[in-house]
Amino acid sequence: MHKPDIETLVRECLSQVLKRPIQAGTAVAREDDGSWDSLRHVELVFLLEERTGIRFTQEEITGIRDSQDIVHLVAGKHGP
Amino acid sequence: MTESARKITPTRPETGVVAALEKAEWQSVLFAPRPSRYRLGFLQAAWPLNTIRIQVHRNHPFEFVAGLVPAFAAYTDLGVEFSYSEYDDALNFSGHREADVEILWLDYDRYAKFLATDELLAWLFGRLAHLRERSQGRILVCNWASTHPAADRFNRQLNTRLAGIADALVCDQAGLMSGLGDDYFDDRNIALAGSALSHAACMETARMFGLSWLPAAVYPRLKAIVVDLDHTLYAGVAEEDGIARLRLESGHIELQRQLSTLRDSGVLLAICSRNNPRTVDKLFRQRRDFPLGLEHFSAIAASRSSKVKGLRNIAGTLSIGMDAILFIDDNPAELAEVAAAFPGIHTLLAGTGPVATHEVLPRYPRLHQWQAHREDTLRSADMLANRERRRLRNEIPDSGSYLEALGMKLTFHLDPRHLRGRLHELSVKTNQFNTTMLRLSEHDITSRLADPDCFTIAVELGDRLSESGVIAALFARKENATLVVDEICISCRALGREIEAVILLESLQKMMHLSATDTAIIKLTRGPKNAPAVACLEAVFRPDGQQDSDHGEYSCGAQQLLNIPTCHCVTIRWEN
Repeated sequence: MHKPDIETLVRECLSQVLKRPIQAGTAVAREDDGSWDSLRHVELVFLLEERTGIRFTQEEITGIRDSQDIVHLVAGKHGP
Repeated sequence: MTESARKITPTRPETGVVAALEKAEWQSVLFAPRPSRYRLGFLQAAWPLNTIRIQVHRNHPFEFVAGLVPAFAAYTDLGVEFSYSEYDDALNFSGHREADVEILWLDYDRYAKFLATDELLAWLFGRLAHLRERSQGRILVCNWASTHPAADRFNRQLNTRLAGIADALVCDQAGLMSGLGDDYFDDRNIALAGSALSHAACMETARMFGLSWLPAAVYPRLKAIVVDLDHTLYAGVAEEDGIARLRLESGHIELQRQLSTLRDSGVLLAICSRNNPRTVDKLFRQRRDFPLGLEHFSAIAASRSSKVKGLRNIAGTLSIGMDAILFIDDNPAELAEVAAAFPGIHTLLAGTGPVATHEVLPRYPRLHQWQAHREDTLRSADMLANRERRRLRNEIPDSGSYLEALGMKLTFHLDPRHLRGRLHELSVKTNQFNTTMLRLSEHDITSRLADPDCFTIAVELGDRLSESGVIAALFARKENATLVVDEICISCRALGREIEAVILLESLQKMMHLSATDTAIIKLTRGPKNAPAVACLEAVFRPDGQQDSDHGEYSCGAQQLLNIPTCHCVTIRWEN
């Protein structure tokens, strides 16, 4: 999986879970987004795992602070 | 609640077609072995939904489940509006709002640290009794899904004891856990969100709520399944491939067994096929390897003409509405044509592969049964006996002689608490002979049974051909010196045997005697389907005074009752 594909996938997942469109190149951070609470966070992880086939560790899940963290995490496990 | 759920049945042909075809497309997502969260997010219903309010009383998060329910519920024409209690181990029900359905979603492991199983049950039933008093909605109690050693016993006790609370039902969460095994739990989420449920557990729970538990809580159960033959019950085309060459694959065997089980549970089966009737007859005689035989079907429409005509004939034979029928066919064009003609009918696209018909049918909405009644096991045999009654009727032109030959027996039960479930079913499911369509809940009926000014009668029917079970219910109350009959409902299976007036007059005489009233008022609300009830009341009492077009009432004096002629070919017995 190449980085642009991962970025698109992460954006789609965030958009589906946070229920709003997210433009390409826009970074989304948990602390800046009121709707990205712990419940949404778990839903996001469920969705990412389904679409990537990756299983994240508890530490990785709690360590996610923004969309870029997810891209790096997925790229690290699913990179070309 | 149930009546409001019925109101949104699509009535415009184009709505019915859109719903039937889109639902056929949704099948691959909703009934997949493991539904995709991603694909689920794109499903938006293009047909009208009836929104129900669901209040969740919980001590751990339900949101992971609730977020997935809407697409499943939309397939059953339900919109869902959830509201949540605080995380409340004490179940205080503070901030309780009116709801159609109350869900108890408890992590019982939290209590097991402090309470023995019996103490936990005693406390829980105390809280349930309190909720029952406060709410008119159905209460769905999720059982204990856990590896805790006390869970099995707790769940058995819950099943047994919950039957004592009106309109309170068990959702078998433990069964879902058994099905998923180790995949049920995901400990990673405990610290983050206070939930041990995995993605798969949330999905399966949402699917059960959306497709089975919620529809079963607010809609009546479907009454009949009508199946196509070629490429539905087997692979191949009977009149092209030849009967011997039709392939009965493992999925078809499973499907036929499921249909047989559903029939045993009270769902009527029928065939609607474009095959020649002789081919259909030969097919079932020749293929003894089919789990289903012709004797399993209560009606058969086999002809070259349209399936619309066939379904109309089947509905007429079974005396049921199209909105109580599930039609299964492998041809989307047939489903569309049928849905255009009957927008309320339920359709299922037959197929093979991961979402083969036998994978879909066990989850199909409105087939879930909370509790079985004796009448469910009698229904199919009673319908078969109707064929014999029709034959007898043709042989004996004189109506009185025919009725005498049937040897009918009516058993009346006064205030029968043990028949609460069946009384509720009659109030909710009857359409043709239902005088007011009050759609009384079990809770309503329980209140009536406990009220000394109310009278509730259940009537059982049997004749020399079959036992029909409890086929009629009457709900009345004393108001000053008058007996007010709020609702009379008679199952369509019992119509045509001229017992309606007998049931009515016998019940009225008994209730007027017990209530020491000398006048009875029978309430009537005219609906789209209850012409047989109206005709009966007109014939027995004739209208009294001015009536508007939809509502009316009939009144009758005690003395007048004695002068109304009825069929005398019926043996009458009273219990309690």
